[in-house]
Amino acid sequence: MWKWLHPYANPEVAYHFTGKLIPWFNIIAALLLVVGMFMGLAYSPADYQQGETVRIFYIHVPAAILSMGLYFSMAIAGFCALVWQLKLAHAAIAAIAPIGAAFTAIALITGAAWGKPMWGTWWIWDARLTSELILLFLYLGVIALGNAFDDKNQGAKAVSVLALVGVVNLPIIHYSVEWWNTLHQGATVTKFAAPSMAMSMYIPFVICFFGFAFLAGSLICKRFQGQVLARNSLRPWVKKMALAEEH
Amino acid sequence: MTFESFSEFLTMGKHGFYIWLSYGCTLVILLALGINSMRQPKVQLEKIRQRLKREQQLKAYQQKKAEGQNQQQTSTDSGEVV
Repeated sequence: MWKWLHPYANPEVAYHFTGKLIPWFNIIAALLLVVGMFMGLAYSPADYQQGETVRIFYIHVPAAILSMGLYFSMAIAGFCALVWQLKLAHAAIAAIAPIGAAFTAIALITGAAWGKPMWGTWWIWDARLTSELILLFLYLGVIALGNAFDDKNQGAKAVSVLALVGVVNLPIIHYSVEWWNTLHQGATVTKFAAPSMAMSMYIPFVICFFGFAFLAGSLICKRFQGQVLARNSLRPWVKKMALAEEH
Repeated sequence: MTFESFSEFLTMGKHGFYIWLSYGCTLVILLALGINSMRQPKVQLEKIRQRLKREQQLKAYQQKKAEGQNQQQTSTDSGEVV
């Protein structure tokens, strides 16, 4: 496997490989999101307790799962960057952080808009909400720390450590609804047992989730390309590409 | 279809505002993120191109300066001879 994987550590190969992925990711994301949003907004039933507000679920939960999943993948990149000193892993961290931050913000905002009609408040300083807010700050910290260095390769180590340390927050977010008393409901779809919801809601949720996931993948690939170019700006292939686009 | 009419779809029971607020915010954030992300490679290439241009100009300027100094030197040399 290492022999097969090895050529992808070359920045130029990685740049063109991600370039090939992007259009496919875009098509899949667009299809899934159109179908998923339509099903979620118009086709799925209203909840017997929460009424129509349950439709917020189809963006809130995928965004929340992605915010944690993307952080985990960023931390894996940070681990690879520290252990094997992979330059491409640095680029991956910088590519994932803004996307993860955006999905965290979406989870928080949709959560607030869901909390207002259901709990009677936009925000409450309980464990789940606060730990998710800390996740947003961790993302912003990774972005800010990465931008604080003019020489990107110099700051990469500090950024990797920060990304890795922040992983502690992930189990806290996940188990916060069990460890502490909170307004937030318990896990419904991220349980190992069968999800505790009706199929008519579960199917649109799964479609939306993969739609958002492929969208995130496509945007990460695009940002990754930008990072690879910025970090290899002295290489002949990058110079050639920069000068070729001049017209 | 869960909804009988389009106006019913828009009002979403009595929680239309919160639902459309969520979907609207999500759309705005994702659009901004998408546009920003899609432009990244181009932005970086533009930065690199400008740097290369600056380097070229600097090189040309230094070359010119060096040539100018050489000429001056040769002229003073010839002056000494005379």
